[in-house]
Amino acid sequence: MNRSARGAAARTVAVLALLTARAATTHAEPPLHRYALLLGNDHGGEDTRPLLYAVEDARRLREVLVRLGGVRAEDAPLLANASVGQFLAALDGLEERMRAEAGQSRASLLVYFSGHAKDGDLRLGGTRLSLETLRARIARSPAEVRIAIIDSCRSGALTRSKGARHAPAFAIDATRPDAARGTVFLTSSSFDEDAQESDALAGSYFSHHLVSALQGDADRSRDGRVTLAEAYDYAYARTVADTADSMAGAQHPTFSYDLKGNGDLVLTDYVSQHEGLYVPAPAPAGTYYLIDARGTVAAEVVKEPGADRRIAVRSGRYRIKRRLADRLRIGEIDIPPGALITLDEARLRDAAFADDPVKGVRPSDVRWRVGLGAGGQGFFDAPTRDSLFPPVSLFGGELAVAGFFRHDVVFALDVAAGAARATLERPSATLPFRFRELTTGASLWYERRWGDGALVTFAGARLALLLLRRAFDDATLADQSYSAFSPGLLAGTSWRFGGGLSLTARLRAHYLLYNVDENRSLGYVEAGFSGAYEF
Amino acid sequence: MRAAVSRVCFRSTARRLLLAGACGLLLAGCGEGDYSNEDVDFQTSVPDGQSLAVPPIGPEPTPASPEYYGTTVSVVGKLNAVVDAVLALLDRVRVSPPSRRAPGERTWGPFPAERAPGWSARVILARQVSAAGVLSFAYRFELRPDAAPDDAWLPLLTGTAQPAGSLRRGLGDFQITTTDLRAAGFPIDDPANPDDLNDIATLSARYDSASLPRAVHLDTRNIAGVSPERAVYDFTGAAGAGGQMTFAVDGAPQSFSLTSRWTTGGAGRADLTLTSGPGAGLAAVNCWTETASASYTHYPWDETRTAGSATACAFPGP
Repeated sequence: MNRSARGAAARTVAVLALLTARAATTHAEPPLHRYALLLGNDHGGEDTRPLLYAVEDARRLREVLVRLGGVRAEDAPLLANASVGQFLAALDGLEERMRAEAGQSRASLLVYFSGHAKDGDLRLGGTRLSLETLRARIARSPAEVRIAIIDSCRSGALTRSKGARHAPAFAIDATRPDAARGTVFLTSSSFDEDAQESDALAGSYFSHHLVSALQGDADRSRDGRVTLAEAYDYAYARTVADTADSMAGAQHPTFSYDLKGNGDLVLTDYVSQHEGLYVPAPAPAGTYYLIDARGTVAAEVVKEPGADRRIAVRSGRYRIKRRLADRLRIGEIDIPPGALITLDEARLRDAAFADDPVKGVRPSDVRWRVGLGAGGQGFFDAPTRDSLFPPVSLFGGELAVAGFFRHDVVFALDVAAGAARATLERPSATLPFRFRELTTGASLWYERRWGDGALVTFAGARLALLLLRRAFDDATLADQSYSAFSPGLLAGTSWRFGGGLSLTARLRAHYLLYNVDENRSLGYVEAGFSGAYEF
Repeated sequence: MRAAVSRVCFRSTARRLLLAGACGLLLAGCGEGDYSNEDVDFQTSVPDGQSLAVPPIGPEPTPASPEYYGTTVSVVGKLNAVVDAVLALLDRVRVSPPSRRAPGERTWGPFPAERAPGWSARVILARQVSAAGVLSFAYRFELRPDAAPDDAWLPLLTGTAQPAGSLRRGLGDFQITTTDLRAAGFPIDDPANPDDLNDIATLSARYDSASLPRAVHLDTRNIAGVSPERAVYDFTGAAGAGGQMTFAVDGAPQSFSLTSRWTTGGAGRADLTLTSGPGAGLAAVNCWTETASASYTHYPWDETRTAGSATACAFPGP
């Protein structure tokens, strides 16, 4: 081979080598290791009222990410009612693992928060994390892809300064040759809007629709994967629609992103599980609601005319509902593990709106308590104690339900009875008598837990019905009785021991109107101890 | 979907709580009953037959008992029966709560009158405090035909009672007036119960049961044409402590006064004096032992019936 031929061959080899090297560079991205840190915090500090479903929101999203999102369970810590310190420590832990795997894999991090936000701070119990601090902390993460989803009131402040828009969708530049890298912030509401939750969904609107989206209902490209843009698009539209007529007004999610690279961020691959519900193309168009055993909407499927839909809900038994203008179409469906069940709309039956299977969930922490106790009762003023209603010891029981209205509100019914002997001194005679009392009451109080929850203080109100009777030793004198409703206030402290047992010290102060001889406003106090078992 | 609930707003919950609280406060005004110290005052002030009863003086008369012992026992029984009949009108006060309460006054009834269909009765007690601060209760038992106007009440019994700190004990008086009721057609007389208010036109009584010995004075006048015209009972004594009864009758053709005295054990003496009519001024004596057997009898109009010795009497002559 002459010099020119060798030179040409060398150049060809060099070009080929260069091309090969470039190809190797283009297609040899390290695998993406997905991490998620999910926080749900029902408590936002002393100046806020506890939420009902924030922890549940986080739990649901985690379940979907682990099941469909390629996130391993050990890479998706769930923090329930944690502090800022605990959150930052968990984040540090994940990032330490990211750094340890640097070079072996790329990392994506999804941080989700559901809870209170107020005055620019996320409220994690009694601790606060400013949105700006969160933004800066996310930006410093070693993860190549950083997604922060904030479901709280006025969370749009997080995106506001970055020129965020509460717009229905955002477009990712798909022309870049490399994989997407950067930061995305999604918020459930604008900077001046409340975030809302629903008993029917047992969660917030935004998070519910986000979960539905990730289970497949947002897959508009019909490629079996739900991307971040598709999920946001879907969650935005459904949240605005569901909250448009609410008391607080429409809620508009917002986004901001700083991404480079190619392609949208895929959040879930819902077809890989091959489990869920398939709605065939011939099925009537409309929204199909899957309702779980608790009576809450587990997922929604928006079916368009002529198009089939698929949603990767967990295996289980569901009731399915489709709403028409004048009736419902309802039915039951059983999805075995690993099975994709096809909906047969013809097997649904018509039902009246009153038979809506969506009942709404009671707070998941409904607890019952039964207790027995003893105490004493005495009227404040001496003339009443000496000549009318003597002090009396009471013994009784109580049945209480906690968490039925709110998880920190207790409603209780109680009954007690007691007796005492006393003497009535009158100008005409000295009359010994036996006094009996039967009292029953309904109470409503707020509880506050301290420390690890072993110590609970409570305060509230009670309405009692008193049945008072005295029988004179002289049988020729008729027995006398008096009954009255008596409103009052109560407060106390409980010590929770293990096994559902507790000991309570309680104080009640009541008002009683006595109107026989004359109208007299009386007051009495009851103090007592009781033991209870909670289940 | 159910309506959304803002995570910050709990106005609806607060409204429900406020509504529940308002209902509770309204119910606080709902009280009912008869639990009353003042009722007890009224109920314990009026006497009952038991508190004024003359205790038995001794065993039932036997053939060996002298005549005036049997008379005394009968008079005591009559006195107790009349007092019981009168004060039975107030039984409802003791065992029932009043129908109406007013400051210082209680009313029982109207209620259907016993043995008198078409008639209603009521009892009214009023508290009184004298200038000297003495507490007493005035009461009256009234009757009215059901068809009569609401204010057409006719009194049967009126009285006052001054409590003495012990159940139904104290000083008091009461009066029975039957004239107006008889004229209105109320059936005063009860043939089935001869010891009731039969034939009585008026009756006045006063008593002192505040302390021992107890004293009861009863003055009855019968309706016209019924003899005797008047009977007066005076008792002083106490159970287990002896006593004295004076029974005076104004009648035709004779009036008399019988004074009986007895000891704790029951032995006693009765002195009967004719106060008007044939034999006026004559006095007879009966004495008896603790077993009610005659120990001395003396009848000035029939010396054949004189027996025993006056020294055997438990009491000397008046």
